[in-house]
Amino acid sequence: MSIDDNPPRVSLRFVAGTLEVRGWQDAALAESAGCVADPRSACDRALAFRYPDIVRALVRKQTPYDDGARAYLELPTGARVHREPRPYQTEALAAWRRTGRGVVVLPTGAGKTELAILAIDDKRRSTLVVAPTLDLVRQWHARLTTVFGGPIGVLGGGEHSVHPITVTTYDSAHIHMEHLGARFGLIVFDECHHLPGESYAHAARMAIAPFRLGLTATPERSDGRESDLATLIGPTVYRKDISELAGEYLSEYQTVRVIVDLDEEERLAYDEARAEYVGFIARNNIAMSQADGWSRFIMMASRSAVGQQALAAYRRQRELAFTAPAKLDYLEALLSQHRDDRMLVFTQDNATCHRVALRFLIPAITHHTRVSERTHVLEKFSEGQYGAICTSKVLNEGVDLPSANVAVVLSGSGSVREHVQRLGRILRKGEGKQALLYELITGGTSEAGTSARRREHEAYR
Amino acid sequence: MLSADHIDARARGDKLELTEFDAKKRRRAEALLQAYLEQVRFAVGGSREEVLRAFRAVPTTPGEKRFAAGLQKLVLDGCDFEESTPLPPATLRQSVFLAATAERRRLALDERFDRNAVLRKVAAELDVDATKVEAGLYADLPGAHRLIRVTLPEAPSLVSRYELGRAQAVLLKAQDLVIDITTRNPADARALFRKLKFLQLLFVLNALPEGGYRITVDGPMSLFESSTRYGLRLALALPSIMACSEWSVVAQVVWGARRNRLAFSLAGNSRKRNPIALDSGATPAGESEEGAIAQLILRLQNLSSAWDVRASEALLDLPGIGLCVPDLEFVNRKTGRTVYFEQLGYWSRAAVWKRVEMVSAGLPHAVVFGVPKQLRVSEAVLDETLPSALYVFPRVPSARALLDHVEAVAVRHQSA
Repeated sequence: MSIDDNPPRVSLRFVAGTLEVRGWQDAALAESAGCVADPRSACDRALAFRYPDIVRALVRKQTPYDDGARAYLELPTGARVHREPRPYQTEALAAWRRTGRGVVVLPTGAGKTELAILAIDDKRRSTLVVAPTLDLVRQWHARLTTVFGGPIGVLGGGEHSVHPITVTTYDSAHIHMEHLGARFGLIVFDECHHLPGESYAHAARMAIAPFRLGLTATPERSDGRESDLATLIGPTVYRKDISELAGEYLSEYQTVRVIVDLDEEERLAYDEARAEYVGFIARNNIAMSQADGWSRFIMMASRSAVGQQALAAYRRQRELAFTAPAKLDYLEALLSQHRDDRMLVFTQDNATCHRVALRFLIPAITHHTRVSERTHVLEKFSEGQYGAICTSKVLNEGVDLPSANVAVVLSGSGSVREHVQRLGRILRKGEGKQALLYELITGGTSEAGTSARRREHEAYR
Repeated sequence: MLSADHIDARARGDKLELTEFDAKKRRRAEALLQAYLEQVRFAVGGSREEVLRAFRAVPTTPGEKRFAAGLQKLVLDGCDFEESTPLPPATLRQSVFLAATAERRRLALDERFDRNAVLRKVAAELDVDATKVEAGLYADLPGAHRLIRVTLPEAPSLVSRYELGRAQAVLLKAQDLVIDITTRNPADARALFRKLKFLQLLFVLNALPEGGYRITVDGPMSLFESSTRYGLRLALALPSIMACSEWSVVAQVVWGARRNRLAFSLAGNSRKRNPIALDSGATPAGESEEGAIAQLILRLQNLSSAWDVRASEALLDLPGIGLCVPDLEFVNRKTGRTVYFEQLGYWSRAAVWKRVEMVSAGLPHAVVFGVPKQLRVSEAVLDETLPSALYVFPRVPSARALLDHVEAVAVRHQSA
């Protein structure tokens, strides 16, 4: 595009996640817009996400330019299905529209997908939706196909079709953005708390998209890098927490903490293993609370036979706490008590998940589960033919399970976000629905502290 | 490819050094590899979990953990596993879990759920033993996959492969490379530049006062932020660097949990024996790939067809989108029409998507891209209306199947 009839002096070209800028005489302005001289290619170069700054600077100075970078389109049509937005969705859209960039924080079940649809319909530019898992990609694909009609592109899970509206995973976005980064004018980052990671942040920097929407229920990260979202997407423009929407827009819920005990033999085994592990880290001055505590433990453990025994002891005491027989007995009772409900059982790892599936003969969904089987399990669960699903982490976030009303946290990490997300899975509003979350904890083990850490959230007060 | 978890390296000041790989260590590697090879050859038909258990039974010291893991990885890379169960596990799970849900709902609150009764009921419906139902429920998990084939050279060749793998594992964490080539052979440099361009790396070239070149290599984003984003490509460039007559490399690597920035150096001379033995694609300058291509040409020439085939020198560039370096050129004797063939490596699905992107964006050439089956990509990914095609091959490209694809692409290109 040129903004007058003179031959363009400045040219923009998208190359591997960057912009090659040639012929810009105003070096100071180029620098302020993010350009750096690149002797390797005899040009100025900027990260692709500086595209709006560069174009704004050129337009402001009325500098003619040839935009060979922008490869995104205006969508010929908008949404063909319209839902009446909830009041807070309308407010959130209005807040985001002011700049077309920013993060909206809404609890699970509050309709973040619907908000994104409103944003796509509003901007009507080629759009890339980035989601953390293939389950979510499939869910987005189905919803966008219904609302905008086909075809909707998919990148990831063995598929590679790029259309003006495309859905992908963070992993695939990281891989492909260096050659697709010019093809979308709007990027929706679903569960955007994933984005500030070392690798995924590249995906945001390698895209020229001037419009960006981040969606999350829990922007906070344990590494504090949520502040990077302001650069990669935009500032938080709207926020509502679970407690503000429970009742009217989300299901009422209760959380129940159940403490189970180890029997005498298990207690002895636990204490012995715990003492061996704790003794090793104390002797080696390893502070597990520090960021590099775990990697130091692994490194020290690999150096000696004593270290390897300490690692084995660590695993033994952890397994005793996470899968105490009394927990499994309690789970059996819950499966019976809630046999006509829809229950999600969450575990910390896949091995426990498969153990639970085998013992209680309930379907498991882990990252090993193929797409066709996941679809089958989720459909049968939704129809009520399955009363319970066991999962480790893949159903923690995003996947829409409106019929789920009971969650059992058999084991988990100390992450507040994970715990809030697990609660969120059962909060989708339903007629007369009362959601119930059980947290099973083995008393007198380190799990009690883990539980206290993950409950440090408004939703559990 | 090996990763940082498979090698032993240590920081000395601001330098990273691989632990010494002397004659004693080499003998130890060979002995362990020999043991692992015997285990996998004996374990054909067994499960992956059994293979891993057999590996663990080979005695190693605590200090050899990474060393042994690296050697095991090389051996596992040459093993083909596949699902092998008489009852399809997903179908079996469906039957069992539906039956269990129904049974649980049938019971009164004070009645106990009997899982064995459910397994027996499903077994009776399928007319099999109940133990087989239980054993088959998760027989499709990776640990339960059966070893069906072992394709590996003998231990001494694997030791050489391990040595190359150690250096590549470090380069996976590299931010950039400074390569000095003190060669008088322009073909070396040309081959290297071709490889760097193919890998979409950017480089600055300077002449060295004593002759040869200094090439500083990184990627487009490197101008703004130091990252290991291009590490895989830098590692893949190593065999081409090592094919040069005299060379040295200094890489800036980000190492360990603390992400220390360290310098890693390597040097060699392909006329002598390199410090890293060159059995597995290092000296060869892609010799194994080129050998395979030469054999493919022979097989193609033995077939009667309307096409002349030769090794290609072309670079197919689609500005702004990418570049591909075809291996073969087919020229139709009657029409003069040219179709290219590029064989892609087994290590990167991204390379396939890149080609798909190039074709979709209008690559003005007829190209058949050979894609190893391991990459799990369907030929249908490229629409039949486009003037290029994917040819998915199991282990080695078939000459006949390749010619069929060339014919089809020629027709498509003509009508496109």
